[in-house]
Amino acid sequence: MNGLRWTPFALLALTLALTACDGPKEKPTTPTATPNADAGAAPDNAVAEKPAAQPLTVYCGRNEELVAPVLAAFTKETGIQVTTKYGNTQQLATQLLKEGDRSTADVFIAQDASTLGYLDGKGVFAPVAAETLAKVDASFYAASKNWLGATGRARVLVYDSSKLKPEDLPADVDGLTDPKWKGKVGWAPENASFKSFVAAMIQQRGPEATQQWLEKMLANEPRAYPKNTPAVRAVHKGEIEVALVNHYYLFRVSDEMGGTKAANHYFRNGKAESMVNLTGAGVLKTSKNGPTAQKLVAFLVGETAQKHFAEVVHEFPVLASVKAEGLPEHSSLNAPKLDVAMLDNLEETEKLLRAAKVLE
Amino acid sequence: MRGLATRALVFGALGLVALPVLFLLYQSASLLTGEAVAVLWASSTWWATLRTVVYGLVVGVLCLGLALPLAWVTHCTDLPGRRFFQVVLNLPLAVPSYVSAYVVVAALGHGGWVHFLLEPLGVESMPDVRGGVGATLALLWSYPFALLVVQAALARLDPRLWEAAQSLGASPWQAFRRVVLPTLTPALGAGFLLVALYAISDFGAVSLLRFKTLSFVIYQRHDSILETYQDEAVFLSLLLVVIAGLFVAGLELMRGRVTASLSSQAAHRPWPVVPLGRWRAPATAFCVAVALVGVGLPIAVVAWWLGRGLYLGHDVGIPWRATSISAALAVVAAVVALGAAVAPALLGRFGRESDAAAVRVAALMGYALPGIAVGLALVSMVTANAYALYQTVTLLVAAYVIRFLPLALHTLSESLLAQNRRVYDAARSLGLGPTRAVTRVVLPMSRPALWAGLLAVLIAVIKELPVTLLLAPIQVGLPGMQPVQFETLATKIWSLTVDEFLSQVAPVVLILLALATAGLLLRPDTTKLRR
Repeated sequence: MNGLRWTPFALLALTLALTACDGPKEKPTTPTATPNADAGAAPDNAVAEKPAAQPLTVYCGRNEELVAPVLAAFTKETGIQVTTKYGNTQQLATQLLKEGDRSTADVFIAQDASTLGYLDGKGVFAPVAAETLAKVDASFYAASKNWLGATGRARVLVYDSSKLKPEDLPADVDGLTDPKWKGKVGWAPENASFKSFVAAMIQQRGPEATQQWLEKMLANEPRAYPKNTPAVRAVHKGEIEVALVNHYYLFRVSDEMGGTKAANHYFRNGKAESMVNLTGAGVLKTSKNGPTAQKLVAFLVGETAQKHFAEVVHEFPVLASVKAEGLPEHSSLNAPKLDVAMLDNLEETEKLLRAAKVLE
Repeated sequence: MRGLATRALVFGALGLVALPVLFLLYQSASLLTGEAVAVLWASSTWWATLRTVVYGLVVGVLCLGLALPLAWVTHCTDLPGRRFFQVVLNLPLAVPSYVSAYVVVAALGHGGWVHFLLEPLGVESMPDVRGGVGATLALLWSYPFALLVVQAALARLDPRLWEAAQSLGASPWQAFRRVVLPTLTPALGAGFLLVALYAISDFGAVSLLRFKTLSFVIYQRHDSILETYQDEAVFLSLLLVVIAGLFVAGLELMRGRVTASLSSQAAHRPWPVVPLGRWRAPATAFCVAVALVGVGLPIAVVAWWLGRGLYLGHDVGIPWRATSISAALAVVAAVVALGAAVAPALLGRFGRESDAAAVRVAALMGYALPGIAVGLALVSMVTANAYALYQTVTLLVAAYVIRFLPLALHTLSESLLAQNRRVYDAARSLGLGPTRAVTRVVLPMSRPALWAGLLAVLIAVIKELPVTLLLAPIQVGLPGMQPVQFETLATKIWSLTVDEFLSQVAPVVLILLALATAGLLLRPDTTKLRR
């Protein structure tokens, strides 16, 4: 009858119910878990005493569709439960910095090397276990040994193969500033992969020359897309003729559309446009499950995960024994020699992109 | 109605809504000495501001241009299938802007459906639909915000006014322009404002179509891991709140100039009374066209994705987890928001005129809080001061309540307008105390209004993207249950479309549309007068 009188109680009950939904925030720590500083180095005696592995919390800046099967395979193989927060790489990195010591994340999987390098510079990662690093070539992990590449993504020029032949394409990105490409080039300037490419260009040419290139490009009226995939789809539909993106989006679009006339062109010129960016992962220094987290990072460069990344996602594997079908040899790409961890000159890159009016 | 306790409840609820703005102010004050404040003088900021204002105005005017004739022909004329159209024409509200943006590109983009039709006529390329034009088109799906308000106002209008004007020799056009239109002015203003504020705070369409409004720039700043840029987002958010506030204030001033409403409190005869005559065919065609584009087109585009995916043998599953989490969150948030809105809404309707004005402004001010600003403010607030709340369902629901309390309040108030103000006084004069007058007379009579408010928030929560993205918990669960990874229909649509997993996203969009449509269909007709 007297509805209003009960409102405060109903609200209180709801609040309690909600709080219950959230559950305990702190994961119970195993008494035997080693402090993280030597997490990579001394897991052996810890593992011996530990009854069962703690569930892991992963922050994943890559698409759920692409990564979830790998994490599921990890759980199946090790019995370790994984809870994942998916999101945008840069936003998750920001969150990690905001959370600081209080973060419940154990592993961060990122879409590009520059974000990993930036976070590493802020000291958020624990060293990756030496035996994991030993599995891959030294060019695939940070000089600090605090994070590890999981796959490679090559910069390419996607082109409309119904209108253009490979020999019609320019030898480098400077060729795209020619008036004959006016209004025919697509790019995704807000994307992290584009920023990494510009960061690489700044390393090679210096800021002034990079800004000049950007300004010349803008004068040629490129079409900007919110992400790489729409840019490739625009080539597929004939809206533009070429797009500056990463190589694997072509396979994504081709899968979705059931084939495409768009094709990848690798510059192979040793310049920034030939760079191979890394996706990768690191164990958070604040993780209370260091040894378990190390297992996941090791799993990412193991046979199972590498095969998935190579065959389903069409990325370049970092494990030499795994071959990617339908992709050129990694060594044939003539990628520039860049220290991946040096790509953390993000601040300079963003400022330059804004100065050149490519970004708002 | 005038008790201290009521006031306390009212101001408590409104204080909650003001919380994010207060925190943004506090944050910006502490950043005033930093370099981020310079963003307010940057020319790119001024361009973004200009785009935001023009976007709000243009979308508002266009949607009003759709809503007014639609409301008139479906409510007041002998249009065939009026009842059907009254319901169906509100359904585009179920389509979120991050879906309608895709629909616009699929329909009008290069290689899209219109291009396909024009190609045989020699049209080789389509103009770029991205940017302002596309974003404006994508937001036309929000016209039902205005339509609902205008429909309600027409229902309160006594048709005898129209008949009297005609009998005095006015032509139909004169009667409409000089008698009907002036009484509709407050509703038109409110409808325009709702749509304009929705456009100003829109995030989905402007991001996907790269229209560089303030929302777009704020999200880019937030996206950056550089601290200076994130600080700039604080100032830009505040600027966005100010712009929205100016829209509200401008409209409130205009409203003050309107003469008192002519709507009759006495019993009146029902519409429709206006014969369409030779306008019958064009009016019907107009309604059919709007319904086809507004409802049919999004479903057709998504069905096309689904069909292609199934044909290509893609793995297409039903997103049970996202559906149940979305539904549960929406129900909880809607109940809490409604609970918090009841007292202010009643005070607004049955209290003093000054109270009513305060409540109305507060309700509209809340709309001026874009989701992205609410989300950013709350994230900074709890990470700095209440970390235990960070990434919890509690905080997410609180954010929904803050964001949509004004919507609940607004819908409730609009619906309560159909109730006679004197009911409360009558109950009191017959010997009921203030509380009992409310619980035994006012609330039971307001049941349709309460339902309408509940469903409005429900739909809004299901569609909400930026708040959910920014405040998403890692996992959710009920006591005694294995917690599951958090996702909602909205976040799933967002993450799937980022990499164009179109066949997988199709069932998610269809479920979201179905849930929102169910909410709209269940909504009671609060325009019927009860007395």
